[in-house]
Amino acid sequence: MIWNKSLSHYLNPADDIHGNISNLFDLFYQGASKDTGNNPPVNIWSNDENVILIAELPGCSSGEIDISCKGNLINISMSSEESSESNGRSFKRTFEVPYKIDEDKTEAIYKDGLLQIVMPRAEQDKPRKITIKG
Amino acid sequence: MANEIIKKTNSEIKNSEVENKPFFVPRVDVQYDEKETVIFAEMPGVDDKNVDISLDDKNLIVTGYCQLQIPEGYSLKWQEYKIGNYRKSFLLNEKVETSKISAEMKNGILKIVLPVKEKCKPVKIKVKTS
Repeated sequence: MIWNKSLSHYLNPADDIHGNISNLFDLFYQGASKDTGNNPPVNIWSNDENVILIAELPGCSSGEIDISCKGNLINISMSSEESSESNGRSFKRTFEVPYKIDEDKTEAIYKDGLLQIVMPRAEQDKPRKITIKG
Repeated sequence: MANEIIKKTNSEIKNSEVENKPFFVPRVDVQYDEKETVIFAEMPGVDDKNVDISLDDKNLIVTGYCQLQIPEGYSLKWQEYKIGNYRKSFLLNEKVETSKISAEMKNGILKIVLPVKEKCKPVKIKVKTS
């Protein structure tokens, strides 16, 4: 379970100070499930290469969901007819992710009521090693 | 590459891993009319192969095992929901035709149809004119 994993990381005295601070934030976020009202709840994971966003959207069809991204912002929106499967539910959410996204390589899948978006980090945003001329 | 990651998140999970997840009560809507009662339960992350419906006397127990796996090597940056399985029980009355209960799972919503017994359906009574 993620909670236990994060907790053990946080309590590990061998971690450096930066590790502890980032884990403290992780711990804070993981401890709280937020009430998002009419908006679908979202979890966001990342590593150095990709950001993964997974939203709980049961009872929709993939054609009703609009996704757009630019820079480090991603928009998810839905506006549906009253007669549709999701009974006229509509929302618009914007998320800021830790780095610039490669829009062309971003992929989304809707399956079993979960919307999963994988956003690769833009090539120009990746850290580059700089060699020192001697 | 992105596809592989998604596939990985949806890959087969060992039974022990699924069972170790916490259980949550799904959000439920119930609609009824003279012919049937229909239950809609929200279970995102559960497919038709991983839902279990059992009837114990008058207790209808619904369990859904969430197949969503935490992406390996990723750290959680924002959390608005917790990942877990779903369980809820419903107490049925004697009007339900238990042998004809049917269920369907679609896009994370479980629909259970509970038909009313023929003899319990309301009968229309004609009013005679004197």
